[in-house]
Amino acid sequence: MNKKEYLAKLRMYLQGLPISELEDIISDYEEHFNIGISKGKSEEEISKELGDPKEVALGYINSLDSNLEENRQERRNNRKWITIVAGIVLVVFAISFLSYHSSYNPGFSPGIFSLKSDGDMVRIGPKGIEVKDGEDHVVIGWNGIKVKGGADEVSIGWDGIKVKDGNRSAFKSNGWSFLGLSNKDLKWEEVDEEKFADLDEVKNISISSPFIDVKVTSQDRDDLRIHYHGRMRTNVVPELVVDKVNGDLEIKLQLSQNSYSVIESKAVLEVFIPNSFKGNINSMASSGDIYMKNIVGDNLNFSTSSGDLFLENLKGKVINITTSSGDMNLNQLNGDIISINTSSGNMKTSYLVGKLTAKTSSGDISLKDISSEEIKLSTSSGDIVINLDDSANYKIKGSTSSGDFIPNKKMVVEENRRGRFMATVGEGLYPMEIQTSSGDVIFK
Amino acid sequence: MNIQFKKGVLELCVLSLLNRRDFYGYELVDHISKYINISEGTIYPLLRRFRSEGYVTTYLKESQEGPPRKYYKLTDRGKESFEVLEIEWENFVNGVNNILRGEIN
Repeated sequence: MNKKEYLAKLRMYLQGLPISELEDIISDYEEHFNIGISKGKSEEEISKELGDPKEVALGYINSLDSNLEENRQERRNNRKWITIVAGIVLVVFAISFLSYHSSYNPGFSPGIFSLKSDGDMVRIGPKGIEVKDGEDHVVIGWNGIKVKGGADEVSIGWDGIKVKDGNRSAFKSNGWSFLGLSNKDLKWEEVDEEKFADLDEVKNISISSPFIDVKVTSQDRDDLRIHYHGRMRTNVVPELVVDKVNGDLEIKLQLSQNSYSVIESKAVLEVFIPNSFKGNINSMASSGDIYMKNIVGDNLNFSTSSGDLFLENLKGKVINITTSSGDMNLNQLNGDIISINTSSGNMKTSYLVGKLTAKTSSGDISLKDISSEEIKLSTSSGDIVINLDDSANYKIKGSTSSGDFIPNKKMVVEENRRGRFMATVGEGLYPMEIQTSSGDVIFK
Repeated sequence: MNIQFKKGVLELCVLSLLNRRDFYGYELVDHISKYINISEGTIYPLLRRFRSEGYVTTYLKESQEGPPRKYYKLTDRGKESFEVLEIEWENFVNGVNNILRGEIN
């Protein structure tokens, strides 16, 4: 087995682990191979010494501290739920807005927007949304969702889920969740879809996903390859849509309804971008994680709501990152301008090059081995921890209301009183501005 | 050799090496497999577990040949655990030796 085959096998057996963990593991073995090869061993030899990839993968799966893993999973699920609730609130808000708005609009009959044509009907009003297409009938209202197709009927309400299949009928009461979707009612759905897109004249690539993890890497190829695969337990399976309009390529995972509930998702939207592409890339995921590695582009934009970001070895003119509660793991980013904005997400970076601006409200900021020629950091309650390497060359200036400024031994502190501080590392060549309200500023 | 037994011994070996200095993965694997016959792939899962248990931390360090390497560093907690394991091991080996070589009443 050569290196590529070994890593592919290992990856296969590790499916199901959180994507960041999986990639981290694979990179350990990649490093192992690379060092081995540089010492003159053959790929086959190294594979043999490492042992059966299946056994190796089992080593990870068996050694997972089950408690720890459960907690994590729970936290993630909770976070996903928050996004889902927010999504539903938005839908409700939109419906009420629509009804409010239309009651002031003389063109509509009060509170109702309706379309009708022999047997088919769409109605949006204060009571909800109703769609009828011949025998199929969908009602989304305050009491829940009802889907009817001939004699079959599914209704999901506050009290539980009801399934009627011809003459048989089953009812499951509310186990734990709102909307009445209980854990057992959702089956595993499997997806495995592959699409290709040519990038002639494409300047912008945008990728968006609701809760599915997104993984973007570069590959030595001419066209763009998309592989959407894995399993999930949800009430709605997002559909992969690829659109090319003028210079824009849009890759979307689309939902057929605005509210969704996800019990578990082990699916991933993988996008392989040709090495030769040097345009803009926008990635969006609401509760899914985004993972991107080895990409060179022009402007690179990332946004998630609760999904985490794992970015490694990226190069662009402008790198823009926004998350609401998602954490960020940034490694080897190189941009003229790097700007990061988050509300409660934590941010961890290492080997960053470029002008950096980072703002968080309660998220912590941790920087390691940075060589940015300008740094501006601000947070309200988050702590800032900076590891400076020996070549660091900064003039540090900042203020904090109630946090502490803790310098390290290598720097000369010129001021540190009443919440204002000033210090120099190296020759003080590059400016570093820091502001916190209650967060501490710690140099290591 | 019994797998569970080997696993425990392997843990001790890794901790003992890291107690002396920081290692990168390949180095650790290479060193251990010189003395003990193991599937080298079993050491990385161990290192990952050590990290999640707070026994080691990792950091990247530049190397002369090629990209930065991931180094493993023993934490105070890891050190404590190593000391406990080391004593247990010595007691165990002494016990076994007594059985193997000692007299039977």
